[in-house]
Amino acid sequence: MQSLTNISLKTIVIKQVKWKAKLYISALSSLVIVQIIFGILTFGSGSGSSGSGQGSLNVQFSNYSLDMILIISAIWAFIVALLFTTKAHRIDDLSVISSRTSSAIANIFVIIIYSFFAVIIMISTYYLQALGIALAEKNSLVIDNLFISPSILILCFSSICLFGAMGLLLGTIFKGPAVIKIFVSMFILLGLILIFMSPGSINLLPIIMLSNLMISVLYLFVAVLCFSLTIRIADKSEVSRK
Amino acid sequence: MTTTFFLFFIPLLFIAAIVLLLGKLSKKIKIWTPKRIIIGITSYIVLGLIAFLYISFFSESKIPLLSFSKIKQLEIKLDQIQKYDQEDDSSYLTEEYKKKTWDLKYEGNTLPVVINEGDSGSSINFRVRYNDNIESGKALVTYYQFPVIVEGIDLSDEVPLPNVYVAQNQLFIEALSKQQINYYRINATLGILDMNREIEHKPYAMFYSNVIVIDIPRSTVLEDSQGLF
Amino acid sequence: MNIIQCEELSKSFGRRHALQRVTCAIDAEKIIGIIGRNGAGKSTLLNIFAGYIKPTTGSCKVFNENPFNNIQTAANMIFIDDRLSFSDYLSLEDILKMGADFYPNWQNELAYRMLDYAGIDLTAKHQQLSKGQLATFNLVYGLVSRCALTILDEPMNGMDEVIRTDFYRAILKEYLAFPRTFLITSHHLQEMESILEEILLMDEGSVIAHAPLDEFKEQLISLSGPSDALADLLSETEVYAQKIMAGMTSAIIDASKLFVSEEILRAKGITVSSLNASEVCKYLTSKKGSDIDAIFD
Repeated sequence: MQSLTNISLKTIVIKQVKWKAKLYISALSSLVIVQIIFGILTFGSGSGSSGSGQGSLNVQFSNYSLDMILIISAIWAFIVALLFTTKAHRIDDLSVISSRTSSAIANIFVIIIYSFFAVIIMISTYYLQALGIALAEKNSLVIDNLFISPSILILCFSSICLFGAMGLLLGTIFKGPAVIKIFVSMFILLGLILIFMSPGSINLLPIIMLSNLMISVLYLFVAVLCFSLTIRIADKSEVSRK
Repeated sequence: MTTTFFLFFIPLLFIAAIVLLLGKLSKKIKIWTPKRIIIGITSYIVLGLIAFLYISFFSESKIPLLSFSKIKQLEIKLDQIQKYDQEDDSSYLTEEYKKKTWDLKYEGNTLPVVINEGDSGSSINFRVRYNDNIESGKALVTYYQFPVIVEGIDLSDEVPLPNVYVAQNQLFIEALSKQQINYYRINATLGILDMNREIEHKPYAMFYSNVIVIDIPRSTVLEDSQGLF
Repeated sequence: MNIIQCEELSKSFGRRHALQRVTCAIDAEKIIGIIGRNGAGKSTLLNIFAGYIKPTTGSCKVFNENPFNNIQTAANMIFIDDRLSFSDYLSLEDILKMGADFYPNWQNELAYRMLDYAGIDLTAKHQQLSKGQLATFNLVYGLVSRCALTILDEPMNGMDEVIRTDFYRAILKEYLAFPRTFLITSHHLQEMESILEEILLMDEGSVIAHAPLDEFKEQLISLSGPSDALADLLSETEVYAQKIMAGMTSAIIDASKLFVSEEILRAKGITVSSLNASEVCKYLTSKKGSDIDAIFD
């Protein structure tokens, strides 16, 4: 009998990450296009504007901060991660050496890598928009802060990662065993009811008051939690090709 | 709740639509091979870098931002002004704040004053000073402008001057209509965080009512039908 | 040595029982045909072997390990069926590159030669191929990966006859070059017979026969002769099918339950003839007394 091949999970995951990162690249190009569209839409007003009347002056500030593109990137990460768990991608995984576990781990790494690139794309969008404003509104340009601080960058990365992790988890849950599916659906439903019944019950202020790094750590912690749950559920999931 | 809905769910649906549409399109359009997509993304990033370099080297803001200590100084000054003002001490009306003086002529011993502030929303304090050094038939109208600081920007120069003139032997003081100023500020941080955190940061706006002082000889009676003095 | 060992394997999807207490063992380095009617549970069984689904009860061991979600099983197994799919960004050439990256025993040059022979353009995309080309490519992919367990689920569906015959030979050649276990399901048993060593026949979720091809064929025999001469004989044994025409009867019966020697039969004017594998399958799995003609009567 031919000797069996012994391949470690690690080797397979590395190979899968290598191929997936390349094959899912259209996700990143969609981020670029989404950001260009939103960049143009918010060109006149920025992430938000504030006005104030002072005597005979009416001052209007258009603030160009990172908020809008961060929100967009986070939503993008969520959707893309959700798409990673769809049938088309799962079936593609079966064509090469893979297990549900290896595919889940590979997806996680791809999300992490893409989050990193998403931050870089975000920065690019920000400065391109800033340049547009600087050229178009030369005389009423106020530069408060041109350099993005590293702690903000880390925070952006961890936020995008967190949303990606949630997308992966949600996608995996709905392909997983029925028990988990029902449990999570109930949980989400209750959560939504809670939010709609009493919007004030969720107070994010204590989180916001933490330092950037602390928020990042918190986000990454939750992301890791989502990732490990994803792997656990994937372990138990059957392949459904219907 | 509705704002959260619009802020979050509309972009969510929008982005989902774009991502799905692009996914479908990229399958149809064969020119988008992974290699070309990577080249496209890389050039976008490089463009961003160039934009950053360009702004940081060539794009200087013409509007100076006041430093924190400078704002603190001004705050103290404005406090003092308020104190003097409440004590009817006009010594705060120094040369430093004098913006413009009108030298006006009129006839007779009475000078009716018509003040028209219109919809400008300006708040000007009016003072009358009987000045022995002024000949009769002459009036000096002096406009004092105090610092106006909004979000760290000194806007004193932007405040429009009032129109001051004598016609039909009446002194007209008209404030100009409201001035609209737009600023585009680049602040590479997260606004949500700053807004909630920096409650005790720089004051949002500081200003003090501007003052118009009318110097007239003692012999003249200023007729004030609007009861402003 | 067994590479697959199943004990009391059952699988149900909701109320439907796809597999019922299947016990079987599959030897290494054999070409085994898994035969059965539609819905007999072939695919379910293969999916369990591949580690894609979990049995409801019972145990299954592939390479002495539980195959479910097992990377070692995945590394030594390839499952080829018409649902095999690849990213839209990959040309066939890229797919071969990817296969070479993953499978340690990959034969890239062989793949090129076989695809060239089948006239498949390597620059094409997988989903652009016609049904027959798709099946051919998938089969080539399965062959050149040289996995110890190669599962081919209806590999020839959609191929034209010439290519089918060629690729049965290809399977055999590849088997000789690199002995491994092939599990093949197909509706074309007759064509496939020449390469099979064993047949595993399934019906209604259970294995009803598992034997080497020759033994399998000898399970049933066909008797034909005068009706009166046969009547006695048939009353003593189980009859799988019977046809009476102008005083002559032909019947299919279980060979092991025929205790009369061939000479005696010949003396009575009864001729004994053997069946081919496909006929044996047909009779073993046809429902007793069911006949398509009955619907139209």
